[in-house]
Amino acid sequence: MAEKSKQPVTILVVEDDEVLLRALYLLLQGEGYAIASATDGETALSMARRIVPDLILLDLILPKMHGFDVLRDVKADPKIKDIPVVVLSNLGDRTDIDRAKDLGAADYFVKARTDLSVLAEQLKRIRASR
Amino acid sequence: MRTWWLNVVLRLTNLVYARKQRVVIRSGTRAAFDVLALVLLEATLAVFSIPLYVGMRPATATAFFTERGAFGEIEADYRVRRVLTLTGVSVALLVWVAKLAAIIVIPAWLGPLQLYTVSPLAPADLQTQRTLAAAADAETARVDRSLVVPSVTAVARGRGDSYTFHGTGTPNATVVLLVASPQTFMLTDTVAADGTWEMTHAQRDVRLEPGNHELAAYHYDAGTRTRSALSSPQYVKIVRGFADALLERADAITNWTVVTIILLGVFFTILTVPTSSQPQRP
Repeated sequence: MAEKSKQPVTILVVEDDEVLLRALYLLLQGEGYAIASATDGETALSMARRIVPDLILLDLILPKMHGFDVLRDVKADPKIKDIPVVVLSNLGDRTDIDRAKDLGAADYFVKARTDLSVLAEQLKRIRASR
Repeated sequence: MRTWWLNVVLRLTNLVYARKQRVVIRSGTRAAFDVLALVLLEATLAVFSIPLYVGMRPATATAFFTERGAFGEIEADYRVRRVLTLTGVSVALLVWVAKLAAIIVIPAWLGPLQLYTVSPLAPADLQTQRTLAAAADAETARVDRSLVVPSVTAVARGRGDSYTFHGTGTPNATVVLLVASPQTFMLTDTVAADGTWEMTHAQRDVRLEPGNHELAAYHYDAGTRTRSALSSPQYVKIVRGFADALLERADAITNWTVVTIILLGVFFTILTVPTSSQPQRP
């Protein structure tokens, strides 16, 4: 197996809005990450198990499988439970944020209040702390 | 700068999402307004997101495959989409260039472009013949100085590029209004019992060129085939309406829209180019 530590850090971006997915792709690509992407919950979970990314950026309102369920299943799987999951969602209620954090999200960003440079910095910080 | 632009894209996607939520719960005119706003937002987002479809580098869309033990390309369809997008933009650009070249080159080679055709001469139908005869009579009738001369008193511009001419004259007599410069056409009406008349001209019927036109009126007596002297001339300025101006410039507007979209696309694509050639590892 190739030595993974010498390869760029991989982020699995889970986002069903294609425009936003591309925007995140471009942002994170500029930061030097390798990007994997999924546009629904089921694919996200199977990809996470298949490629074992270094970090998951997860939307919550997704087709096929809700982001909360993806998060719960990731944290329940011994193979991928240590992957930090950062939520980026339109849901901004306190209950949603608390629920995501209870399920094990490393951080939570509300899209309407998010500056992408802050998000990129935070991803870097989370990655460095692991 | 690139992050600023990506933040704009993020904000626009948020606004689109919020507007979609509203459309679902609202009804009536508010919903119609929301749909309109949604369309405008989607259009704005489409323009701002052009570089995301043009300037992305699919080769870096990779991830580590544990079973393969190496990084591999995941989103191969990015390459296909990019090729399709570039093809679409290139075709639009080529069509525009070809059109411009045709406009410049064809007149030089083949002479002026034929913009209209002249139909072959054909006899007018009976109704038109009568109208033409009446008009010719009114025009060529002998001048009777004893007839009262009508007057043109006012002109009002109406909706839909129409003009209404007002005047006075002998009650129940036929009044003819000449609108001249450079072409001349006639309007006829019968003076009302109170001694006033009004005639409306719509630009969609006969298009008067923009500029000053002379107005003169006279009475016409079909029984004696005589007419009064011409009234003292008045002038009206025909101005180009908004629809006319828009239609006249439609071609230029279309061309400049294409140019603007391409320039915006190029501008935003430039923003997508990383500042350093080698991406920094986090």
